[in-house]
Amino acid sequence: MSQSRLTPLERRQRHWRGTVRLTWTLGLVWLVLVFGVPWLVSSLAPGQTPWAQVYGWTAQGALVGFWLLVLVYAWAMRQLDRRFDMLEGQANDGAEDAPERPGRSR
Amino acid sequence: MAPRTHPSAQGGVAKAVASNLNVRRLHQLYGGWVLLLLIAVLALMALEWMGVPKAWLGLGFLVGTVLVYAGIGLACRTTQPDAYYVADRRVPAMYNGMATAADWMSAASFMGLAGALYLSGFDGLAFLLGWTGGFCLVAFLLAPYLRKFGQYTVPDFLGARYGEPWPRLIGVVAVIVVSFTYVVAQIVGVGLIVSRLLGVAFELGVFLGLGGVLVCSFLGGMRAITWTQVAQYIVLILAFLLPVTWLSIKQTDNPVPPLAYVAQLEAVGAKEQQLMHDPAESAVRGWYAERYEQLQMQLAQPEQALRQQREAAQVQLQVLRTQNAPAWQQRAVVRELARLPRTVEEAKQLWLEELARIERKALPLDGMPPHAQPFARADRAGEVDHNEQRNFFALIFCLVVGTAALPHILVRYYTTPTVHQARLSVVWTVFFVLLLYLTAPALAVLVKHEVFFSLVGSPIDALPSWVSAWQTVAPDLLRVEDVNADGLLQLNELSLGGDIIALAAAEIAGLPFVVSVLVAAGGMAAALSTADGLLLTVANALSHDVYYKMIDRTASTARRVTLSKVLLLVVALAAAYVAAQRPADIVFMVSAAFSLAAAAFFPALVLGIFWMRTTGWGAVAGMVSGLGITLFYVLSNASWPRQMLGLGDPGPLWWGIEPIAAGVFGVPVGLVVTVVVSWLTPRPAPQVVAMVRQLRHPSSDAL
Repeated sequence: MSQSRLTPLERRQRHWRGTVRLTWTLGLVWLVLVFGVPWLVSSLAPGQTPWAQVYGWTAQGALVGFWLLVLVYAWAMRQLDRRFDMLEGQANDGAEDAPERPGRSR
Repeated sequence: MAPRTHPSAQGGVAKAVASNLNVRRLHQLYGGWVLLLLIAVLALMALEWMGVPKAWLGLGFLVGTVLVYAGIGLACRTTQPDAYYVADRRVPAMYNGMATAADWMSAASFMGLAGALYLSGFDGLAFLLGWTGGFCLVAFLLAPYLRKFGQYTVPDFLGARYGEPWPRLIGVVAVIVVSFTYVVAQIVGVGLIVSRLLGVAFELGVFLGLGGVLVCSFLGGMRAITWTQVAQYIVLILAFLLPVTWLSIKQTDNPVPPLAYVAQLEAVGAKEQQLMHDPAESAVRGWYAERYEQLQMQLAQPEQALRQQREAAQVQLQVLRTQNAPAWQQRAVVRELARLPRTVEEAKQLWLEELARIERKALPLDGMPPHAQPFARADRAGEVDHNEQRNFFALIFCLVVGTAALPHILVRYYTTPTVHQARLSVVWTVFFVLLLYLTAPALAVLVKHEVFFSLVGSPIDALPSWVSAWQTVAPDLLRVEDVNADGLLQLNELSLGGDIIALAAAEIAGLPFVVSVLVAAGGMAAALSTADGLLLTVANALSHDVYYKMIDRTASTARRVTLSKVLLLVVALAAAYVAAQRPADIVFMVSAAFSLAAAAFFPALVLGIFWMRTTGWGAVAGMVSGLGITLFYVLSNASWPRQMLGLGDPGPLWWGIEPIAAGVFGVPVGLVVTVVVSWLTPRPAPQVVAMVRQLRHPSSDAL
């Protein structure tokens, strides 16, 4: 991997910073979809707006938008995991499936 | 991943799961289920054509589907905790998405959503946006981190992150309050469908439905409900999409309802304008306005009003007798006299009910706002109702945050094999949820188009047969009364309950009876699948978090699973008992559960992952205060729980926010309190910090 000359700590820090940045970016887009769009729509002038079109685009567009957001998130996080060697190791997954696993902090 | 076979794994699905998750085998099995359903529908159509009574067909189909769910549940029975609590953590992302979608979409989504969109137009979009938008928060803030944490329940996380015992204990209390409220609403829904379909008493319907819930989840826990929920998702989505698609083809020749309905909405909008100024419509509205005033006068002096009514009927009877009027006329008056309420209390009750029923009927468009216009009111065209607007955004807030805090949804993301699969699983969940949620607004508009253009203005004795059929079976959902006696149907003379939009869609579309049976089975599947997930969540909170983690740390795995099964039974019976008391308002109960979950869990969970400095005390204070404020606001403002608890009249609203959106106060209070108290208390211990670091990355390398 291209970032493998970084120390493990640096990789973890950059990976987390990237995660937080992605979360904020997509979170802001999400805020616009959930609250901004209905707000904008409700401030349109009642007289000249083609309400049927607006209603349809709000109802369908926002929903499809949510789906694209979670899709982009899953894809971008996968890229981030790859870049900083943070993929879950195949060998470790078997261990995670063990029926009795003690809690981490206790 | 090493293949691991369970001794209890029998039957198709269980085998496919146990033998290293053979995804192809799963595809084949569930593909077979789709085919079987379609064949069953065709076979029933043939039987109907051959003259087999409809009641038998309905019963047969419903019992058949429940038997299949039970078979899957039995085949997946288990005594292993990993299988029982988290389905072995080997559910592929797509199937976990499908199961979560079924878990998520309750009777409220299947029946209530289209109804809310039909009745409240643009304002109803709050449910549509809130119930889907919340999954973005699940994906960004919770699902991958909880999967990495990899334990069994939400209180597990609170206990590990914030220390024992208080954070876990408060979490358990909140899980029980939230999920129990929600499960009661689901069982009421199951009872309604069963009693309506089989024609049995509501209470019996509740307990029959409960049997259906239990056979799925009792023996196999999460593994069983995951695989039954996939089967239930297929039933519910077919049942929802088939009638809408047909209706859409019939009205617009376009088989994709979400694309077809905008044109119909334009026609509906034009018709709305016309109906608002129609003279016959305003005559009907005038009649209801007069009736409303009359009822209010009667309620002001009930004794006198009742006496007058009795005297008037007696005088009329005297007159008829002296005139020697025909016997049927006299009998009619005698019947009317006998129908009059006996006591003043009874009379007041009756009049209040009628008052509530006709309250909206003096308004244009039967009290519905113009469908597409935001925050509009039919009686004040072109104005934005700001109170409505505030409540719209408050409700969206509660629903999105609540979605990201409902324990029975969050535990689903413990069941995927990896963190990446957990992320993908949210993508699939949203995809499968959208199949229904993109179609629901189309259904509402297409049905409204049908009502406006095929029913309104046509002669009352020539209405389609589904109108009279539903009026006999369910007068609370559909009622026609010709108040101006012109023999034609005006919009305000037709009372529609929201649930009928989805339930009667097949008949409205002119599909054969069998499809309505499929629709009922779909509603049933929606309610059953959600009830299953909720019951399991409550039972696991009690057995795993309270018994195993707090009372007996040495309990054997078999003992824990057995205890969980027993508790599941106890919780189910308790929920059925409460449901049989007919608590008033399902939508209100469900939405209240969202507000409570949002206030109790969201700040503690999200801050616990994203803000290292959050302390145990901060989380405890935040959860208690958030939950406290929300409960206080709901209890002090909603009329139904107040009546039940014997409290007085509702208190004042804060900024006009309805109690349904109480979380809009609870969540910010919880967030602020968590942050402030965390600052005031000592930093979390180093091993907690290390644990949070672990959560933040999918790879499992040690620090």
